[in-house]
This record gives sequence, C-alpha cells and structure tokens, in this order.
Amino acid sequence: MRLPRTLAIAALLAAGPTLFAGTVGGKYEPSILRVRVTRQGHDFIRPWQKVPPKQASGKGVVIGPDRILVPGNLLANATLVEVERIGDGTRCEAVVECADYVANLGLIRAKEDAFAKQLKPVGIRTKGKRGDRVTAVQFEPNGTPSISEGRIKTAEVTTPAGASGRFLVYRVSIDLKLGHTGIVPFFRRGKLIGLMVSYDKSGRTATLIPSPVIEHFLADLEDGKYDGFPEAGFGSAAIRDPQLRRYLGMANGDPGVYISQVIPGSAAAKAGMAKGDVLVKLDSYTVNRHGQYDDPEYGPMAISHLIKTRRQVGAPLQCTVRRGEETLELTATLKHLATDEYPVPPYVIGRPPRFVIVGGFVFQELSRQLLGIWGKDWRTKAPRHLTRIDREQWERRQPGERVVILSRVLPTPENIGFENLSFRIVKTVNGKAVNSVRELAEVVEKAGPTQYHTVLFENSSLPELTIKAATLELANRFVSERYRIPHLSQLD
Amino acid sequence: MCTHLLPRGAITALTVLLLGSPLRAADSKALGHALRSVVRIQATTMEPDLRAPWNVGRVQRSTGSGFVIDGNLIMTNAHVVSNARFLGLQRPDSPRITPATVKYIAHDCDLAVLQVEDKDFFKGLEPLAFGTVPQLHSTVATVGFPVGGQRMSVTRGVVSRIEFRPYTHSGLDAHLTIQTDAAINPGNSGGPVVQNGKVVGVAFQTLRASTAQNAAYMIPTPVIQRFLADIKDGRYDGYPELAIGTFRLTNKSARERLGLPMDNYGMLVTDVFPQGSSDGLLKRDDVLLKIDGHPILSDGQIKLEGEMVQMIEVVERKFVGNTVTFTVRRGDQDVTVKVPLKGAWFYRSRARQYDTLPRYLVYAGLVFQPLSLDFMRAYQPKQPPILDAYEFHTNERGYLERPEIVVLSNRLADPVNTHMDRFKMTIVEEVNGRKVGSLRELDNALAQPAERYVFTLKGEGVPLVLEADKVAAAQARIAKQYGIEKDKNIGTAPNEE
Repeated sequence: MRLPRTLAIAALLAAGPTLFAGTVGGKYEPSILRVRVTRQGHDFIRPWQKVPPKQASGKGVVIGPDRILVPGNLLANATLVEVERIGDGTRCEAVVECADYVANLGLIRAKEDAFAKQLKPVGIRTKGKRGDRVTAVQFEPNGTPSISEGRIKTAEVTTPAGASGRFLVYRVSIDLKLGHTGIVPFFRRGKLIGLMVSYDKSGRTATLIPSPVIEHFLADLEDGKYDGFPEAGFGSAAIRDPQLRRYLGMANGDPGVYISQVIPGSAAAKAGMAKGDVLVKLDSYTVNRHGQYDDPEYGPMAISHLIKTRRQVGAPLQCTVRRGEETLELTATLKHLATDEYPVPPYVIGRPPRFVIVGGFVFQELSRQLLGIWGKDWRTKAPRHLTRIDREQWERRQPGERVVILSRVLPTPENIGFENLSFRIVKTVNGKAVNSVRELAEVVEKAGPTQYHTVLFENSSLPELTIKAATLELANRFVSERYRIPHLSQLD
Repeated sequence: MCTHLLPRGAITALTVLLLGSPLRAADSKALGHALRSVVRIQATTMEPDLRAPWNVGRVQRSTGSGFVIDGNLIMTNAHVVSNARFLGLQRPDSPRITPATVKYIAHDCDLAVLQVEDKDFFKGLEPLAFGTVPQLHSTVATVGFPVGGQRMSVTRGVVSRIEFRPYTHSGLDAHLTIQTDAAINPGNSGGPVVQNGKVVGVAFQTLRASTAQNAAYMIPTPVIQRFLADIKDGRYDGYPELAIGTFRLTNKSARERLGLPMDNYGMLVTDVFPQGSSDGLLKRDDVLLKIDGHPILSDGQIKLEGEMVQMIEVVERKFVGNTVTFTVRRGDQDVTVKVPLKGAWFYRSRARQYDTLPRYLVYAGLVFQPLSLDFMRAYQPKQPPILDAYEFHTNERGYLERPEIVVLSNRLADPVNTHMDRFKMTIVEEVNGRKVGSLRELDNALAQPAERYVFTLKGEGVPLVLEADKVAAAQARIAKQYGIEKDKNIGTAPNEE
C-alpha cells in the first residue's frame, strides 16, 4: 500500500538534520564563518566625538582551534565582532587577536568554547604556482554552497584591494558563479591557498592575498608580538636609458637599480645607503635592471617581495651597492615603521584622534585619516599645503616629529577676529617648535607668568595668534559649555 | 506662386541706402552724440598655442566696439585688440573698413587706445567726454555692436553695484567696476556706457548666464582717467603694488598686545614681499593706522570722497614713481613711512600674456617652458610638483632664488630621448650642478661645452642624462621631423622687464 503523499513528506522532514547535515553549507561550512562587525570610527572634523556606528560583514576562515582569519580592514574601529555559522545561523561573540591594516589581514577567535569546538580548521597550503587548480567557495544567502573552479594564472607584486602597500598576489582565472560576493576563500586540495579581495568579472580574474603572505602574518604572531611586514626604507627606479647607464658607469648587461630615495631613520638609512647608489644585490640575489630578483618559486619578482614576505622584522638584509667607483656591502636590519613614527601617519585606527582645544582654537595632528575628510579624492581636493606635507613628509620633518595643525576655531568672545582660520600648519607655540599635540599642550601649560600665548604658522602670510593667558580658563569653560564638548583634549 | 530673387546689385544699393540714412534715437539728451562716435572694430588675431610654442598660432576674427576720444584716437578694451595682426574700423555711416593700429595697451586694466593713419576717418565724428562715477540706480545706456544684428545697438539699464572685482582679461588684476543690468553682449566690449551725454564706463565683461542674469560690467572713469594720465608721458607703466599681506585686526587680545586702543582702527601687516615696493620700509607686525592721512579701519576700509572704500583704492589711483605715506604703529611708537611705488614683477607670471610670442627652448626634442598662468591653462597639468610650484612659488619667496620655474613640458619622440617619458611635467632644478632659475639660465647651462648634461628634476628621483654628441646629431633631425623653425625663444623673464 502506498503511503499518502503528505505522510511521506512528513516522514522525510522528520528525518530532519541527520538527512540534511552536510548538504546545508557543504563540507566547507564548518570552516568558513560569516563575520558581523559593529564599527564606530572617530570624527576627525569633531575629534571629541565618534561618528554614528555602522554595520559591516565579511567572511572568516577557521585556520586553527582558536583562530579565524579575516580581512584586516573588517576589524577597523570594531566595537563588537560576532561570528556566525552559515549553516544554522548560530552566533557567538569574537575577540580580536590582531589586525594588520596595511596587509589587510586579521585574526579573531570565538569567545565560547562550545561554539569553537564545532568548527573545523583548515590547513594553509604553502606553495601555489602557475597552473595550479584552485576552488573558490561561496555561499548563497540561504547557505547553499556554490563551488567554482579556476587556475592560478600568475603570481605578481601589486597593491591588492584593501591593502596599502605592495604585496605578492595570486591572479586566478575563474568564473565565479555568484560573482563578486566580498571576501572569498580559495582552496587547493582542501587547504586554504588565498583570500580573494577583488574580482574582475569581464576579465574573469580573481586577485587573492596568497598563502605565503598569510603565513608570514601568522609566523610573525608566534612570538606573541606582532611586528608587521618589514620595509627597508628605500625607493628605487629602473635604469634603462643607455645615456644614464654610461653616466653611472654601468655596462650594457650590468644589473642594478637606482636608489632614488632613502627614508631617514629607516633600515636602509641606518645601514648607510644613500640616494644615487646603484643597488646590485640583495642577500645572495642579483637585482636586475628592472628591480627584480630571481625568486626560487616564482621566478623574476619585484624586490619588495623578498623584503616584505620572505623576511621578518629584525632580519638582516645584505645590500650590495655601487657608489661611484666603489662597491659597498651594507647590512640593513629590517624594521616596520609604526604609524606614530611617520610625520603624517598613514592611518589612525582603533584610537581617537589627538587634539587639544585652547581657548576655542582646535589643534589636531595631521594624518591621512584626517585628510580623508575631503573624501576619496583628497589628494586633489584637500588644501595643497596639507597634501604637500604628506607627500614630502620625510623632507620636511624628522622621524618622530608630527605635524600639528589648527583645524578650526570655535568662536568665543576672546578669539573673535581669528575665527576664519582653518587647517593651518603650526610652526611654533610661544616661540617653541611643537611636534605633537601633547607638546603643544605642555608648552601652553608650562608657560611661566605670561600675558599672551602666541602661535605662529608655517604660512608667513598669516598673523600670529594671540591668546590671552588670564582669560584662557574662562574661554575654555565657555567652549565646554556652549559647544557641549565632553573633554577638551586627547593627548595620546 | 513664384519667388523673387533680388539681384545682387539691388541688395547692395539697398544696404547703402539703409546705412546712409542718419541714425536717430529717442532721448538724445541721455545719449548725446554717442551714436555718431561709436565705431565697430574688426580684429584678425593670431593666438599662440603653448602646446606647440614654435608654431605661429591660429588665425581668428572677432568684433568689438570702440569710441572716439580727444586727439583723434579710439578707445576700446585691450581684449578686443590683443594679439591682433590686423584691425579694421567701421564708422556707423560708412561701409568702408579703415585700418588702425594700437597706440597704447594696458593688459592690467583691459583698456587700449588706437590710432588711425587715415586722418579723414575722423571727419564728422565727435569725441566723447568723460563723466564721473554714476549713482546707484541711475540710468545708463550702452552703445555698441553686439551680436544679434549688424547695426549699432543701444540698450538701457541702471547702475546695480559699484565694487572692486577681478578683470578677467589678465586673470590676475582687480579694480573698481560698475555693474549694470543693461544688456551687454559679445561685441559690446570696448563700447561706451553713457549718461547725460558723457561716458561713465567702458563695457567690458559679463557674468555667464548660468551664474547670474542681467549682470554686466563696465570699467568706470577713475580707472579710465588713470590710464589716460599714465600714457601721457608716451609709455604705459601699469599699476603699482604695495606687495604686502595684511590681516584684519579685530581680535581683542591681539590689539591689546600691540598696545592699540579698543577702537575700530588699524590693519596688521603680516607679509612684506622682498623686491616689492614696501621691502625694507614696512615690517611684519606693523599696524597701518593711516594712508595718505586717511584713517584705516580694522577691515581695511577708509573714507574717500565721502564713500567707504578699501584702502588699496588710494594706491589704485597712483602711478609708478608716486609715493604713498603710511602712519604706522611699530612697537610702542607711531612712525611715518613713505613708500615709493613700483610694480611687483613676481606677481606677473600669474597674469595672462598678450602680444608676445611664447617663450620656450627645445633641446634634444625635450620642450622646456616657463611656468605661468597661460601654461597652466594650455596644459592643465595635474602633477603635484607643478601645482605646488604654481601655488607656493611667489608666497614662499621661491622667486628670490628662481625668478622662473622651468618645466620640462613635453617630449618630441626621437631615439635620443626614448627613455625620457618619465620626465614629462617635471621641474628643472639643476643642470650639471648649476641652478636653473629661468629659461635663460637653462639656455646658458646648455651652451656651456660639456661631454654630457645631467639634469636634476623635481618630481622624478632619477637624473636625466643627455650626451652632447648624441644631441648634436639629433637636433637637425628633430627640427625637420616636427617642423620647428626656431628651436628657442628665450625672450625676457618677468624680472628682466
């Protein structure tokens, strides 16, 4: 006797999870999580407050019992991070272990053991090469996995999406069934080979942060202190013009690139490298005229790959340079410049902007984050004197010296007459050069019996600011109350 | 139905008949004899192209207006006759085109005076007299030859505003203007604006219709009279400049610190430009209290002839060689400072150039040109070092070391310069260790005999190297290939004028 249809379906549904387990999400499901982030950045126009919170989401890959790999930028200014199972939607709060905003890599871990135990870590494939077949794992909104197959086309050095620096990437030729769905993990033989950060649909090419870079990131963490990707601190340029080559005393086939810039205080500077040197060798590798070395895995590669991804901070780098008639052997100890060591920090994430308000005059430290006030076209839209000091920061400042600006004036009865000044670079306060907001605050506080504090700007066409010391406290109180500002300074 | 085609002869006769009849207008008191004194100016000009500075430039034609003034001369705008190769005048009552030439031209206030060889041209034409600055809301009439027809046109409007505004012809200067809602259109330029039979302005520019309607401008008589006085000695010397930066001294604490009373007077000097009129005479932190006896308000205004104007108006009315006297608070004393006036050459690179050939140097197919407003307009460069130099060179006193910024603007491809594309739009700093601060200095550096020329360029970290023998071989080849007859026009730098 045939079962009535409804009964048959009911029986099927009753079989429930057991029957469908392994199908919702597929075999990768326990290794890939949705990551939901609530982030709240700081307001660089009103540095005493935060901007409204926003939601962001992405994917993470489970690479260890306590480690979930995510894109670093996802964690910027995060106040709450949650991970979620794609299969059944269970959520769990996560803790941020590390975020690298330059390489765009981050590590988080699930807070609850019960949740973490259900996850299945994947290994990381160390070597990918041209021609290798790889698998992209995506998920439809309902959790159904979508698998696409492709091949690694090339390995090259470029700036991947979300990163701010040149890194090794894999270019994969692939037709993603679901198109660009954000970060997509790629696997080869069950192991992670890269995280896709951008996809060119018409060119059918995916760009991945590859496993060597991910492994460098993880290896760096091993000693408990994350140092970052090393830099040598020199800029180089190819020497192709035969007239230039002859001038530098180089024969036709000679190797080497021209050192066009050496950043003060950098590893290269400390090793004694100078602008005008011709760099011919790095460690045992010859540097060809295009700025490449012969990488044992990838063949001719930009030298930045050798420095960044094949070495860790603290490692020595042998640099052979030709200077005039001489050949010099220099040893650079690789380092990673902390953002605070830049005169104009490349980003300010995870901490409030530094500022101090003196009698309604708002002083801040210049950073690219602040320049971001002018939108993504800030390089052309922001005031020229600010973009110039960003571009020429190493010529105009020493390492450790930051740029203090008067960003705006909150009018008070005492400062009226100066209220139209904005975004001006400060040269001295009370006759002293100031290289940080803290220094400025200290100069004002420690001024002996003085009638007036004075601020001079770099622009010689601007007047000197005059701030009457006797009424400063009154003015500060006016600002706090009238403008409802919770705190008048953030010095660190 | 049949269509009639008028024979050509008939048309000519008809036209002559119309032109021959006297022009009449209502309200002759307002216009006076303006209708008999305004002429049409036909200009054939050659505009150089800075992107190919060795070329002669393209020929264009334009129309403007002018009017007869005392001395058998025609007054018009500088922009009507700039870069002209041929000027033709036409009286309102005659079809004949009579050649004219520029006698005096002032690019910094957009005025020019033309002379005519044929003295019979002026028979029956009356010179117009000049009036004073008209009152707000009084009626004025514009006479000229604007678009929209062939015959003389008269439009009427009121005086809407009297204000200091930029004169777009030079792109740099600003002087007094009078705004009117009388319709002024292309072709009206150079024509008179009359009130009670006298000229109260020369029509010269308008706001774009997309920005505002019924807003047209005339050059008022103070500016015109100053121009006429300047040319009396046979040479136009131009406007002098104080060459200082100032700031409104309204802040309480700042005034207190400078020992100034809490009244509304006194303007702060923040900047004194070297090689300018005030160099060595005024100082930063001086407080200007009076100019030629007129007390200066903290926002820079003075009372002049019953009107509140900016203090700069005093300088506006003076000539190169005149003196302006300041009463200055310096420290705790009041001092008198006499400033002899002259121009500021270091501002002029930001003014458009006319009636000159572009300055350039071509070497090994590399084109070198001085940075200027015309350069920026022609190339619209985006490279930050160029934009920085243009913005900061004068204010940061770069001109003391380098009167001019020399830009490697283009590369005319040739085997000698194959790898040099990277150097396009960079600034020449040095050649063979010698500083390059002008086109002439570059020319001199390249004239020094040497095996090779090593250029240091701002905007590119690698030096540019040219071997002398390679260049010698390439010069003739490049000149032929690119049709360059003259490989350089060094001309005169702004500081050499």
